[in-house]
Amino acid sequence: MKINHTIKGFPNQIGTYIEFPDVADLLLMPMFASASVDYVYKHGTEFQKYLIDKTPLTNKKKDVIVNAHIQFLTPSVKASIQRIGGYGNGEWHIDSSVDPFEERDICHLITTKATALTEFNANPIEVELEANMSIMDYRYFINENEDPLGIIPKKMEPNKFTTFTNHVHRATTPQKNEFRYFFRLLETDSFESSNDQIYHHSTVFTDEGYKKNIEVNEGSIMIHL
Amino acid sequence: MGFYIPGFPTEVSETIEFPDIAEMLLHPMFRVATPETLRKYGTEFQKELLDKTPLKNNTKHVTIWSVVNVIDNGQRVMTNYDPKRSNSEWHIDGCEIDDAFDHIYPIETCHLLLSYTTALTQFNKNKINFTGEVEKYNISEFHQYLNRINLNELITPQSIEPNKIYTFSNHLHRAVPPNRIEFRYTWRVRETNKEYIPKHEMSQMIIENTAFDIHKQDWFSNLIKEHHNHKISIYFPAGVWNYFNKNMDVDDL
Repeated sequence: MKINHTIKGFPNQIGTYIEFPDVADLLLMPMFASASVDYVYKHGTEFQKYLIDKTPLTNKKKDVIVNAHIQFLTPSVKASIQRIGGYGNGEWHIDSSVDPFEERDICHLITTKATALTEFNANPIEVELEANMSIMDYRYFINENEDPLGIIPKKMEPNKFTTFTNHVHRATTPQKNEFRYFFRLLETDSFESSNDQIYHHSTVFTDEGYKKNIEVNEGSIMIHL
Repeated sequence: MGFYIPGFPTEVSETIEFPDIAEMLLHPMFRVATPETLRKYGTEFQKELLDKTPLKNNTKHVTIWSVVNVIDNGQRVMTNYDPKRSNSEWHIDGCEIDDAFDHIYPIETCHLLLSYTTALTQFNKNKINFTGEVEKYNISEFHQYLNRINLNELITPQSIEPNKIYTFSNHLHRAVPPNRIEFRYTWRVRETNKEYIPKHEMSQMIIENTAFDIHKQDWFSNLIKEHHNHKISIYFPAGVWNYFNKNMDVDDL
């Protein structure tokens, strides 16, 4: 059975411009991976708590999960998703949904100014799709039909929260060497916070795959180039 | 008769556009390097900075300092200072020889640029005339004299602007530590007859730089580049772990 579906256009950017501390300060902040918002509120820095307070939460979901880290990006890496082609692994994707047609989780994302900013599809696109399409089939369809569908990439603004659900988006390749701070809150009914909520290195993806990026050691911060 | 110390430097470059700090972290660091060494091993940007530095070319040596630091409140990059003692916070450069009179008859020229930082070097704003006994003081005695008198009545501090090269000689100035953790890039070119320059060009380049902690009264390793391992390590005197522990219960880690 076919259904009419709208591939969403550019999401809302809510709230005002948020000033970030110096990179040196951001380097020293604890990094969180799938941490509960309470955990971050307890163990985060004042600035991280301030970011939580500034997040335009809807409070419609059971849990709020936080990811927060800093990255040292270069033109040979990609910040947040593996750029491997092929079935279900194209660059355009939707986050954390089982059903591509259902708005499940609500994502609030903010990053510092960088050339590598997440891109969203700019304008709504009406399509007719199989009703039982899986998320992997949906990703494949979007990536294989990017041009015929008329997907137009539009970068999110830095220093402002972007709120999205099942919006099609992709990471972009840095055009220069740059730091990027990444802070994402996920309002969800389907994910739970991890056991290891704080972690001691951020990661990036290269053509060879996953790579350790910025590492916190006792007494020092190490940048892996 | 008397002599005077000039006010705020008037020879200032245009604003220079800087790359991202991430880019600058990858550039080689130079300390007491010759222009030849910098032109051989420096990046295009560092060579451009040298081209934009208005050299006088009237001394035996030209030496270059080009480093990135990460400093916090109470930390300095180039000079030490003990606020409990009367050593010179306000000072005149080019004074390795204590009995010299560089403050009256300057020989050296310095060209200074700072970037990324909020805490910028301060110079005295207006010209100051000195007469009487002070005219006989050598540079060392003059610095001691400056610290005996009430400098606040004489000096009006004025900060330089970032990303501009300031050229000066016997101008009174002082370093300013930041009030927060931040990166700082320092470009200093010194035209001098006195400075020791390492003979081997690789010794003019550094893979580790230091900063001075006022509270501990000591220099510490600040930033280390491990070229072979493709790593840059940034050290803080208090220790990152201590910073973490401000927020973390030990059991949580």
